[in-house]
Amino acid sequence: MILALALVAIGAPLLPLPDPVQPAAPSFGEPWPPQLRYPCGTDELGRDVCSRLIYGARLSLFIAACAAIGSVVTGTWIGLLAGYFGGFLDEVLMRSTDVVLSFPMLLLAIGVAALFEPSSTVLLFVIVAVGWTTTARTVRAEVMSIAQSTHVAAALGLGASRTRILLRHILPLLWPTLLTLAAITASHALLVDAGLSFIGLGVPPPAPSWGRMLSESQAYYRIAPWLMLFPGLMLTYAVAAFQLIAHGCTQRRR
Amino acid sequence: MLRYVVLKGVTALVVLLGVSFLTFALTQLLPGDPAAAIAGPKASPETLQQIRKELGLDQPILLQYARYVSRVARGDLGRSYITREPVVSALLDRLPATAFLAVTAWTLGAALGVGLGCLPSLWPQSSRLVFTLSFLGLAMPTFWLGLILLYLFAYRLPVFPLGGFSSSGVVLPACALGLGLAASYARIVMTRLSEVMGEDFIRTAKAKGLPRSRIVVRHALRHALLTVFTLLGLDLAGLLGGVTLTETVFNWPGLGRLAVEAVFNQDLPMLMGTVLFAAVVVVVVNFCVDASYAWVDPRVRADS
Repeated sequence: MILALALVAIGAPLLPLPDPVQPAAPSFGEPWPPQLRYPCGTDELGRDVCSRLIYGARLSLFIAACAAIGSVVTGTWIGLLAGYFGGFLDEVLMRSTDVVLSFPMLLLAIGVAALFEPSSTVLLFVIVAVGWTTTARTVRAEVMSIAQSTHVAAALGLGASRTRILLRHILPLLWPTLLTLAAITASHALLVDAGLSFIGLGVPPPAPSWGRMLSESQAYYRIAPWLMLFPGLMLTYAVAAFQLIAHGCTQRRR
Repeated sequence: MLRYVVLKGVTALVVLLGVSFLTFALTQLLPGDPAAAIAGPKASPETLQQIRKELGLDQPILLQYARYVSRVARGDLGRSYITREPVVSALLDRLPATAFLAVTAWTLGAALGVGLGCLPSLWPQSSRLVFTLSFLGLAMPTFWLGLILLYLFAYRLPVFPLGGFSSSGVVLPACALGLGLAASYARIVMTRLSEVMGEDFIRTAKAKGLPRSRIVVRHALRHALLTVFTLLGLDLAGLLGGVTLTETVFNWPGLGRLAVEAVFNQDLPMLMGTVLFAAVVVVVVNFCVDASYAWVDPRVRADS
């Protein structure tokens, strides 16, 4: 599912689509309903909604992927350190995780995002800043149980250093978990990205973004419900796709 | 038991301190001079100096933080840049609306979710359906669901108001929020139940000849709900802290919209006040959940 979306998104410039930013139809001030030429209709400036959706996918997927990688890498490091070394370090890191987890994710994201000029870098930073906690907790728990296993004891007996044990004997066993976590984080990232864009803290216009398209559609819901329908469908599709990946990963491991 | 609760209380305090540090650090990150923001562009250097002195901005940063914590602990979150109203009174003004919406949505979500989650154990044929429903519910963004509900049930079929604070107006936002919550509870209850159904004590109950419905509801569900219990607490706390998007969509005068308005007005004390408040609610509720665990789950009591 996600592959199809990613392919379309990456190949967008090659597809015969109207420009997502320039008006394609002379429909100024009045959105056009879906029709053969404009399969998802046009918005109030005459821009092709279908094309905007696909270009929006480029941005959303890119941000989701980067945010997922960023969050998982950050979270993994914190989880590894906390889980393996334990003691005071563990206490400090886990309490910091609790602190970040205490904030409702979107509200914290709003708080951080509001301090900066909106841009995709800021958006990415914000999503990573609120998204690493789940990974950190899960990885910590896994590391603690792996560290008890016999192969780690054997490596320790053979005189391997702690760094080596951590990187060569524990990290490789975490891959399946990390993959699942990345998929889940990506789906959360999509939702936070859409939410922030919806209240105007996302990537600034005129770049097409699903969240902002939804927010703009609110003004036209009486005459143009399709403006509201399609971005939401795309968002649901993408989030569901990431969650299916995560689900598939956990099923396979059982 | 008491030791366990005290330990949890200390942890909660440490987390609260961290929360205050984070909000304080965020305000420090802000580019620009707060004194200039308050005084306006036409202020003389002397006035700026005066304001800085009043706000303690000329003090060392650690001292500023200490003063911030003591102010917050006394319930003083500063004043709004725009209305000059104390942030705390604005928060308290908006709290009832959010609480009303949160509790309604939460009750709906919990009842629907647990009910749906039980279905597959009672009638195995329904498991695919419940799985698909919960999947859709989890993937659908709440604010989009809200928009769709508004379109269908407030515009097309004018059953409910288009937004604003009223007792019939709570139905649609509560549905939008509650369906998402229900999806996640249904998913967890379903998985936990199917695990628990394989346990020995369930086999005993079956061997005793108890009807399936009784086994599921009285024996297995009680076990499965333990997992949901923490989540229920956390979710309620999260909702009480403000349901930003849903409140924005439905024009609901709660804490979440207060935060969004603060963003638009660049009203930093107000925004940070809502963020801090939300986090405090989460920490406090979390502590209550942890503490009551000792009462709900006898095993925790025994451990400590």
